[in-house]
Amino acid sequence: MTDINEILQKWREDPSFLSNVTRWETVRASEGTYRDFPPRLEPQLAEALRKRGIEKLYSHQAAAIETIERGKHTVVVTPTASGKTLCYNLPVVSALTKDPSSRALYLFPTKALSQDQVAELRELTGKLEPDLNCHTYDGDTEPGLRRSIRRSGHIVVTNPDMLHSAILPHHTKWIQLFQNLKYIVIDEMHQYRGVFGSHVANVIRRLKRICAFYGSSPVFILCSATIANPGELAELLIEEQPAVIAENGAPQAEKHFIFYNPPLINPELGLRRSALLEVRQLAADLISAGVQTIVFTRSRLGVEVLLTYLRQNRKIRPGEDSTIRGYRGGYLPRERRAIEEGLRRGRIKGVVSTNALELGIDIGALDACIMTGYPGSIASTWQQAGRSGRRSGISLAMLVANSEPLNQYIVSNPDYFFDRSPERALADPDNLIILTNHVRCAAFELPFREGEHFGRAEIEGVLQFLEEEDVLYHSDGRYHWMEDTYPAEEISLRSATRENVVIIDITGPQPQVIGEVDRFSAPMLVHEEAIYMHGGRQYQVEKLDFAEKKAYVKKVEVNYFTDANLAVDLKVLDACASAGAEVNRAWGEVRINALVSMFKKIRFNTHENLGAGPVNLPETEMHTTAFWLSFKQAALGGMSPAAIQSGLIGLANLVPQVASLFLMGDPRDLRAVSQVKAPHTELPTLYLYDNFPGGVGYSQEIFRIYRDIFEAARRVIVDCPCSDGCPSCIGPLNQGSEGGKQTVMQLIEVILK
Amino acid sequence: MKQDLKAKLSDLRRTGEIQTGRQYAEKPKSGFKDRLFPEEGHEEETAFGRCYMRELLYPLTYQHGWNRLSGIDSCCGTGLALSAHDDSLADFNPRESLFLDIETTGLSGGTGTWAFLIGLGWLEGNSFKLRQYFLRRPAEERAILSHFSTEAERFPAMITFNGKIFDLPLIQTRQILAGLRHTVPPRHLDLLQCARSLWKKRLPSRSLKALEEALLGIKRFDDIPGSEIPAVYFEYLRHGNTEKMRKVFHHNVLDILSMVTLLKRVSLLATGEMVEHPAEELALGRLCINAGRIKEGLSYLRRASVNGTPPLAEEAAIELALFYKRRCQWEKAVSIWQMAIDNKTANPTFHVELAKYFEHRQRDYSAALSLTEEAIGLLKKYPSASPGSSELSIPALEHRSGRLRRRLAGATRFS
Repeated sequence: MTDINEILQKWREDPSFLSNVTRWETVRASEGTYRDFPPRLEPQLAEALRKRGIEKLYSHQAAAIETIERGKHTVVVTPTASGKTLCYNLPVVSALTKDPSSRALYLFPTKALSQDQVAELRELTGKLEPDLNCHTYDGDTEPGLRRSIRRSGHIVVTNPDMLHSAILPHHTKWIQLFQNLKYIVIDEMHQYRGVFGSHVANVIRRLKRICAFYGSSPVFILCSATIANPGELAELLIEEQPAVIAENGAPQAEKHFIFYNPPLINPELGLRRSALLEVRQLAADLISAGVQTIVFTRSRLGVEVLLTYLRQNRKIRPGEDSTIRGYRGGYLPRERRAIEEGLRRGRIKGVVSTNALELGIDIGALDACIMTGYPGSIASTWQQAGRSGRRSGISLAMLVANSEPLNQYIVSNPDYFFDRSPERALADPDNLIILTNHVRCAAFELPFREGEHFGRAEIEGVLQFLEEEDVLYHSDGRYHWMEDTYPAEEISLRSATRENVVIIDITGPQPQVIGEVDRFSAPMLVHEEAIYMHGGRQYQVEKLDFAEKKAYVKKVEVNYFTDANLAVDLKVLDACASAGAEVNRAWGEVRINALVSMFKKIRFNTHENLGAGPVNLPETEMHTTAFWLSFKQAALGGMSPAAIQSGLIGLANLVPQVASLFLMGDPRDLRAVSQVKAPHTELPTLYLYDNFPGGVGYSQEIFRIYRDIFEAARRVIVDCPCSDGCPSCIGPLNQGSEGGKQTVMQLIEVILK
Repeated sequence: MKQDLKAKLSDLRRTGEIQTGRQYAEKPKSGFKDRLFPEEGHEEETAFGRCYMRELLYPLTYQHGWNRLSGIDSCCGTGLALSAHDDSLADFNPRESLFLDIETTGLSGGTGTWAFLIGLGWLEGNSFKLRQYFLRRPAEERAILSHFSTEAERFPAMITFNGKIFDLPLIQTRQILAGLRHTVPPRHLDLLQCARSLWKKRLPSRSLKALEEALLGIKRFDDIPGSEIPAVYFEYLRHGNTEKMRKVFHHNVLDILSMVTLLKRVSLLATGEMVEHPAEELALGRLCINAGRIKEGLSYLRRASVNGTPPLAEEAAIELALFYKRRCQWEKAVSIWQMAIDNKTANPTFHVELAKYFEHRQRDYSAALSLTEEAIGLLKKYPSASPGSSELSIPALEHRSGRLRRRLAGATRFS
């Protein structure tokens, strides 16, 4: 077996390898900062820790315990493998052991994490007196157990969706919990951003309302990966001011972080070797040398392709292929548990995974981690990288960039990554659509008093609207739920509106629901004849019943994907803020009318056009927020209308990608439209809009930090080696006219002037 | 340019981004119809304000369908305890029992569902008294619930139809929300549970409506369908529409009166005084055996196995044989299995049971094998007749026949 050092040495001496490395950062080993157990920690618990070989705590653990014991809402920001769970488990278990009538509620974004957590809790509390009941409560919980969990579960571990749809609407069955609720733990807080975060903030408003009804006022404990605004996000979610604990007292082993940009194969077009093929080589080198490696890919399909490649690799000895496994959503729980176990015990040498393994599932410490493409946010990148090197000893994390602008930006500007995180997690709890839906749910749970606020939101207008709509009934100073429906059932926390199109697989005799898409994306993704990708399989849409919100699909195997042509019309309804004279920037409320009129079939790999077809669907309408920039003639000097148009198109390609770096969103969450003569301003205008009904706060944030975004955009263009535009920067050459890069630069200079 | 909130919300509703519920017909809102029932309705004062109730008095001679209400005076606790699997009902006294049935704003449960009509009934002298609490407006809920709680506490037993799952938990939820102690009756007889154990084999449905038609001689005319009831209440609240509301009151009255005659019917069957159908004999046989009343149980099962048409009679025979098998009374069990096979039964259970007997008791593998093969033949011939248990699937039987063949081969080798 080769040592990881030998591989690193080999790479260090290999000029062709080094020519692709844009940064080789060595994080030196560092000592931890330790503190004694806080004096008020339950003695039995201290004893249990000592038995596990823990004599002292990391400084941040001790700090967290102390602020929590003082009854302060606390947010702990910690990197992976810094003993995060003890930050909340110790104070909670300590308090509950001292007073077993009190209760705690844990929220994790996924069921898998909940199960892991309960296993860990039981290990910690196993020998304590009195016995604490720790249970998961989710869709998988046996009906026979539910009653006893509701009555006597000390620590109930669940997810926001379950809290929203099953616990809060039935709060009278949970009196024991709500009357005695002392702590609410929200782990992986940074996941609660965008639409999901906006929903969860409202679920927490409902939760606090129920707690107040039963007379409890729990302390919130939140944990987050590193983001720029942990305190702000926590406050957005819980509407209380938290103490932020951000120092990290955990020791650090030596870690090598390599940024790797695949070599250019066509400098003119900016074409690089595929990241997947590079990773295939790098991962094979590591795994064949016995270095336990995790490879992350961005899609489920990527997992399967890479897994096949790795198992075919001649360096992997026959019979060893079972030591390389795939891991993604869609695998059965039993299969997943076996893989996790195999990783912990070292039987599995390599695993290819989607971000399913990014979050805290316990797979032990691996030697190396390779990320195929930028995971989408710096926080995710650190979390994935944290999968290697939990123990002492040298570890490796490697980011292999693909050709998307965001990837190219990160790989060319590694300082961005290693300096303080610029990522701000955003959410808008007051998104009118989301807010209104949760006011409905909250009214179902308890009537609203006249003038009552919902968290910090003033909602009298919403209540009056719902009364006029015959949803609520206003009488004797209260608004009562008066409908024969169960509102939480119709509202998914993962999408902005209630209206989703369900995707039904009709390949077999038994039709099966395989997924859903929101109403606004449906014309793009599931129009008739579209190829819909799910679980690494291709499906062709046979029929889209838009009125009934159902898309019927059948499995196919074809060598192309489909891309629909979206015509977007944007109308400004209300400008909330505006600044700048020659280049005016503003944000506000807009209405988007989107019409899909045709689609193209595009061959895999070569991207050649294999034909087109019409789409006959009604226009969809969405209200959201947008940021826009309009250019006065004077600012543009002598630019020709054609150049302006080409420049705007280039910006529309590039800016959403770059902006997502600051907004912690997916580039698809932000859309751009350009108009050479906008009806609203009569001027050349670039719009960037939140691609969610109601918006989730991106536009306002862009208004605030537009300089950072356009400076980053400028850097992408300067750094890009292509001659005049490519998919890695402003879009392919043929989309604009000649001098594309130059005109885009001209506009950026005007904006930044 | 600033859109006001209401216009914004209306626009979002227009585009479908916000959805609201059904819209009720626009009618001028009128004041509260406090005088829903001028004759029977009245208000009462409670610690939490006034509550509205309607009271009706039925003489016990009142004929409801085929029966008079007076029947319940002679209901037998032992029978009820048997059919409800609840021994605590053995000393049941109809004069100490409260009938309960509620009408609600929805069926989904949860904290947002209201019980707007709480119907109660009890025996009082020579009459049956019926009281309906009605929620004229949400603010009166505490008054109603507290009045109800006091009333309910007088009775050691409660009688409902599906009340263990629906009515009582919903009332308890409302009581908790109103900050009141919730009602927990010492005994609770849920007639739906009785109906399920008694008539599962006789009737395709055990809804109250189906039971009324099949067993109680009640056919409802102009009754309001349950699914429309929430909307009627919402219309009453918002527009003061009392006409349809009266129908809901009547619906609730009928539900309670039917519970009274159903209770008597359950008691008559469970005590064996009125057994009309072999399916009822089978049900009683099972109930008696479970309750340890072996002699009675066996006699019911025997009668069902003689009186019933083939599938039912066979089910009774299987049950009977199973009883003997558990007690190791092999001769009796074998004779039942064998008789059915001799009578050319299409149900493979008999073959399989007998095969198990030959394999494990008699070690007669060749007899067991031929029975197993016959069973496979039957399953293939009448796939729909299969009882559907996993033991009686073709793969399971083929597994058995394979094992028997190996045993036979082994036995030949070593003999």
